[in-house]
Amino acid sequence: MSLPKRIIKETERLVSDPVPGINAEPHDDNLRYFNVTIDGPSSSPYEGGKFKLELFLPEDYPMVAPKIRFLTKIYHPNIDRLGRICLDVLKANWSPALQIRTILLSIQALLGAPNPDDPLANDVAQAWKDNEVEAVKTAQAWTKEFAV
Amino acid sequence: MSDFDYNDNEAPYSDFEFSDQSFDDTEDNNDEIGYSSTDDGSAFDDDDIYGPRADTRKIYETDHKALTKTDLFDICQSLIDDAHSILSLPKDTIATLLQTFNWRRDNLIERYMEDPDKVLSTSGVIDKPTTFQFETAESGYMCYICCEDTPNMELLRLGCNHRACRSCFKYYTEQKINEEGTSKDLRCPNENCTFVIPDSAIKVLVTIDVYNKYKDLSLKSFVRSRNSIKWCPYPDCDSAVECLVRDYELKTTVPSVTCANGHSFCFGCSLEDHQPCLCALVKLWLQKSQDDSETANWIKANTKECSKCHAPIEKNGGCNHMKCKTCRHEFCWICMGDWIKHGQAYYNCSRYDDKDSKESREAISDSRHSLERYLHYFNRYANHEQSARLDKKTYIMVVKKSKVLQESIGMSWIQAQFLSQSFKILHQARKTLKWSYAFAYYLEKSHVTTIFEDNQSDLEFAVEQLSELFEMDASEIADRKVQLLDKCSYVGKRRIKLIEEAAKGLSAEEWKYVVDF
Repeated sequence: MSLPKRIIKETERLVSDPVPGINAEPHDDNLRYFNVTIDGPSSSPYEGGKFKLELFLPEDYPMVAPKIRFLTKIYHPNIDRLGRICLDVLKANWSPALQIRTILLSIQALLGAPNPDDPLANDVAQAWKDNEVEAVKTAQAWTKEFAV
Repeated sequence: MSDFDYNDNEAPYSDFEFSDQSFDDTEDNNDEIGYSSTDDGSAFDDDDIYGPRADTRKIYETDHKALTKTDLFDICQSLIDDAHSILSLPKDTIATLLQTFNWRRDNLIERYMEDPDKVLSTSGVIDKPTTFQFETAESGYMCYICCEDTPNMELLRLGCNHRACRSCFKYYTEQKINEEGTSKDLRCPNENCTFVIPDSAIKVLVTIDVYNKYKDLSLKSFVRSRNSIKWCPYPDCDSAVECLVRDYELKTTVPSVTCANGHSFCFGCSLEDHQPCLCALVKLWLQKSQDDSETANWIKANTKECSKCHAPIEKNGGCNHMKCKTCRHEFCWICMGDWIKHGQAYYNCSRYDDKDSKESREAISDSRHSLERYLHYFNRYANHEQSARLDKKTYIMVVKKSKVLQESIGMSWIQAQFLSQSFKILHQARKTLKWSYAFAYYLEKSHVTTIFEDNQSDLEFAVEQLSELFEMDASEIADRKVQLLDKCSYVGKRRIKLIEEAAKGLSAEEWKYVVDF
């Protein structure tokens, strides 16, 4: 099956005009499957980490959002143990006008601004609320251990 | 049946007189103005499908109206037309607004009068005469969704001024309708745009099948928004029933209704028709019978109760000297009396008539009695439920028999119809009997319950006799047709009697229950 023009254009642009701190490369044997690396944003507990993600463009893309998941272990209230991400633009607020690059930027922003009030990993969110300083330390430790 | 002969031409629901005010008082999400009383150009002026009129209505019947899908569409359409004539917005826009306001037309009009801009923006509509238009792409245009840039391709421009190519819009809306099953959130695909794609645009975009699905979905959301309309719960039945029974009335009536396809069900709880049992009791009963029945049966068959603390005890070996694990009471398994008083007569109890052991047995009997009472009703309930299932098999036989009657005995088709009609009466009577046992279980004993139980056993006896008549072979049935018809009309009458008496008691609040609900 031929790849839709939209996906080809997006892939080309990701290569020719990459987003700083974000790298996305399609697999050779499956052009809908991307290996993604996101740098932890500066002045966040994830600073200095390189986080690996996998991204898949489903059959109905761009009518439906890409499927995306963290592969690197991360301590974050909106990302669970399996790496699944709680982000509005990946669910109800998806619009075909959004792109791979905008979604990855949203995820990078999520790393800079964790939202424990809308948690996916309940234990992490609770820890974040109870003692933010301690939680940030744990996140830094995890970053050092798994993402460097 | 005559219950649903609709030959009236006056205002229905005459004992309801539901003005909008009285409704708004009790249930604020019911905007009934669109089809309330007959004097405001109501959507419901088709007398033919009204339920029985109040003065001919039996006490156990409830006013209701069967609605087909077309009726429902008509109601929606008349709500749209009404609002259209007041607000002078395009019908498309009105339809979207009504969906956002859960089809509460009054609410919409009120809010719109207060602050039209706010209503429009929160509902995702724009006050423009045209809500969408097709156009041809200028050179150099690239669709932002599919990145196609074929010259002169067809574009759709929505009221919000966002545009994309036609095939992307088609794909987008079909995907939303088919995969997400939504009729509501069909918004402009552009990021953060809340403009709702209007019905008429969807109609020209998608295939007819998808459009029908879209209409069904929006009909569903309409029915959901009405407390007075419910879908028929039967599988694959797409008709609905409107009934104005309110929650508090469910304590004194059983709102049995019949849909346009002839399925009868309870409007209160959407289960099968369960006359004469109240919805709340049905719920309690089903819960109890699901949780308890097998356990209760087993306990009854395999255990005895400690005469002191009533803990059920299973004797799985050993001698008759029992020691209750719960309260440490020691007793004899045979006579249930205190073990200490057995003296030297160990392992050989012959004290059955002793005063002490008699007392112990009486103490037990109270709690056993309630278990046995439950099982008494449950077994009869379960029996009729099973028989009702077996009736289905009998029914197939009845159909075969009526064919035989037509072929071999030369009975006409019409003449042979008595069999399937009688069968329906039998089936209905069984259902009533079944629920009458659940009902009786929760009744406090009094002289009225004695009459009720007499009616019940009378019906039960007749039902079994009728059931037996169906077992006869075809030629015998033809010979004894009169007997069968007599029995049938008797069963029918007894059934009416039973539910009528029960309904009288309900509406007069004569029944006393052993539970609070």
